[in-house]
Amino acid sequence: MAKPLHLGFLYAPHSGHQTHDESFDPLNPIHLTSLAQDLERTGFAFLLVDDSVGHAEPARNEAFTTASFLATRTHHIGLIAAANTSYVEPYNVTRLAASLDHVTHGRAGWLVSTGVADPAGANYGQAAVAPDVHYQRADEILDIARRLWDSWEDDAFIRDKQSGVFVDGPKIHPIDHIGPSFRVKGPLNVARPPQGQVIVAHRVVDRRSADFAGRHADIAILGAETAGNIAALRDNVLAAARGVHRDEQHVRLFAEIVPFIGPDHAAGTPTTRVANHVSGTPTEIVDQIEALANAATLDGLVVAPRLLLSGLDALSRDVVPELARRQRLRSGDGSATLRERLSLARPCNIFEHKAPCQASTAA
Amino acid sequence: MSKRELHFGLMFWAGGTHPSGWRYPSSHAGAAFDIEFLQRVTRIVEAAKFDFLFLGDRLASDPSLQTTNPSQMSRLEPFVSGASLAAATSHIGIVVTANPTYYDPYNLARMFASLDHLSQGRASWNLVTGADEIAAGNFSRQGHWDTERRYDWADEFVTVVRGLWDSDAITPLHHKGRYFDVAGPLNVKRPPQGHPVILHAGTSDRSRELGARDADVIFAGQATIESAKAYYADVKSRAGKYGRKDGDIAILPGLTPVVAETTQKAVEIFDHLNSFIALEPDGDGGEASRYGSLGRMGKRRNLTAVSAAIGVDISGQDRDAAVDPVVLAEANEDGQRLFADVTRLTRRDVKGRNRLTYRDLIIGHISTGAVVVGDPNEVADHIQLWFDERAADGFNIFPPYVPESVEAFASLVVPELQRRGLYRTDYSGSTFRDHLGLAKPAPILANASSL
Repeated sequence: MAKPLHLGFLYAPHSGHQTHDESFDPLNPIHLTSLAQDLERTGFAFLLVDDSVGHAEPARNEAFTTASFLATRTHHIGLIAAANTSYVEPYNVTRLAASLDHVTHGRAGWLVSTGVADPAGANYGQAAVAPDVHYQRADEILDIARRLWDSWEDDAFIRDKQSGVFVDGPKIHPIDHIGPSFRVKGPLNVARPPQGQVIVAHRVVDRRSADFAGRHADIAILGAETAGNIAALRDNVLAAARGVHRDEQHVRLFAEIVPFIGPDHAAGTPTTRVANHVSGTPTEIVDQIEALANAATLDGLVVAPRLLLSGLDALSRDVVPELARRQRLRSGDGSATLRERLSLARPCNIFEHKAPCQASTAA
Repeated sequence: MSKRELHFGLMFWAGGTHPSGWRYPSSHAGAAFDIEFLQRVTRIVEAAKFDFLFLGDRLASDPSLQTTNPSQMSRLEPFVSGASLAAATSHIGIVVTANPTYYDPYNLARMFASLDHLSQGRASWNLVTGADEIAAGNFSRQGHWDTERRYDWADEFVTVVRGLWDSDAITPLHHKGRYFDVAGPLNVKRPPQGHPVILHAGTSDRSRELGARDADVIFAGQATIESAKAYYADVKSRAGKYGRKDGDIAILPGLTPVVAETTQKAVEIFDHLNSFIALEPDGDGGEASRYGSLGRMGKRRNLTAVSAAIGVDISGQDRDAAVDPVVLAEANEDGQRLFADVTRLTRRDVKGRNRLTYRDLIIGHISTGAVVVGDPNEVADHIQLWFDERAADGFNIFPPYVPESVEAFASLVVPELQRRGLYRTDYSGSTFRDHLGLAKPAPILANASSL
């Protein structure tokens, strides 16, 4: 029997993917809360809070503050916040992600984006640079982040009121990173995240992003219009993973889909007939989702409706229940963290040498 | 003009602001990463109508802080805590500490604008320039910037951030300055408060000037009413230069209250807390570790250090023994002040039934900031005196142990201050600016730097 699928949801009110929906104000905390709670109730594994640091209409809130707010308003759904490696200090973004993992009790993720997807250097006094330079910076920041997340061993805290010993000093490690763009001494000032390492996601649209996802990502979101192209991106991601001796079983592969539901849906019908634009009645849409997932051997789908709320209504009312009825919706029952939900092991700490361990991502 | 009223903030350190507060029996030693605990403590002070909850920050960690400032060694990133708090509260202001030295103005302007939208007008920026030398090593810097450089940078940084908050598609920023080149506009709508409330702390000349020009709330660490009055008068007169009125800035010094139903119980709690402080053997040598709450460099925790400070050699004395009255008689001016302070806090003296000990002198010597120990009336008297004498417009409350000292202040001192008509019994608005009685600023459309 075909395996059940994970569902993710892309919240990206500023991108070309989602046209402005008058009934939804992206700055409004009540609207954001109902969106996240609806997705959680429907059975989505995670919500991707996308972001942009360049010009964006409509205005909306920064992703990590949004996700931290939603952490308190939700209980099970993964919250994956975007941050752009071209415009942040590694120490700052690393502790944002680690802290989000603490306040969600292990439901956090970081959607890594780069200046290639969001050219906003003019807001940072930066000259335009080649795509490869953006990705070199991203590579270095991911290496720094992983070591900073591990800089406190899980049992570094003693907190013994009797003796007054608060921490076990030797279990706290400087990282002493010296690289082409950054020098970071460490340690981080945040305890190791509940998931060990925060889930890393990346949107894959070309060879360069596929390479990056293969090296670093737990979740690769494949964005292409035909099943063939999606499969090609998948192959590139897996080849890149093998290239750094990562077990390809440790990468979860998703395709981005744009649903057009119902014959008279307000969003109309797709302009062109492409595989990741799924359309028709709920039954037809589920047929198309299954076909796509089977053709490209996917672990799940990231839904990015053109109209945020009306798209979501139809999805939760008809499409997701149909997927569940066919036993193709993976439930989150029994999993506490996003990592567990995705069946990914909690990685060992690179600073611990007690027992041999298999890291799930490249060190 | 409306009646002057007290303002309160709560300085949240997960283990309490006392260095050994986490060891107090009812404290939650693992509170630093427990967001539900922070939310619970914040609801206590929101029910007590506090103006704000204060989230401090440092941009580095060092295991050696464990005996002095364990709560500052590691904690949640304050925007993450602040946004999680916004989701769990409805009125209280949320103060997030952020250091321009290690941030980018575009990112910081977005973070605060977002927090202000998510909290519906309760965001606030505690602007620090960071005296922490080790932070430079985490941010690819060759070395720690000196004070002038940090403040020059911060001055332009604040101008850019305010400009971004006011920017829109029609009036993007186009800032080109000495340190920053920022096109804008910000891609988050103008915050509900216009500009989130700005806090600043510090005593240096540059810091007073920045505070007088840019801060809505200033918190300071003066330990005595005399120094606090001088500071208050100085900052408010400097603010006049920038066209600001007295009521435009609230000056809220730190205050550590140890309060219980009776004076005797309060002193017992104070002694209990101090009993956890690890003292050092007498003698010089070794490096003094950072001590206290405002980043001051520490003093040795022994009688050698006390001897040097008071001008009488008492090293080697039995720490639990009563202090010989001769020591007080021979002590210098600093020593006289130390004895008076220890007596004020412990109610112990060199004569009478309750004798102060050499140990009390060590504890008194290493303490920083203003501390008050007593029953609800005594603590309220202290607060009222500082308020009436214009040493303070209110206080940033430093809870020595959490949550019990927060509960004690809220349930014992707050009602007494309300009875005296000094403090609100309910919020009159829903934004942080409302609590401070500050209007929403008009946008600075003609950004000076862009025209």
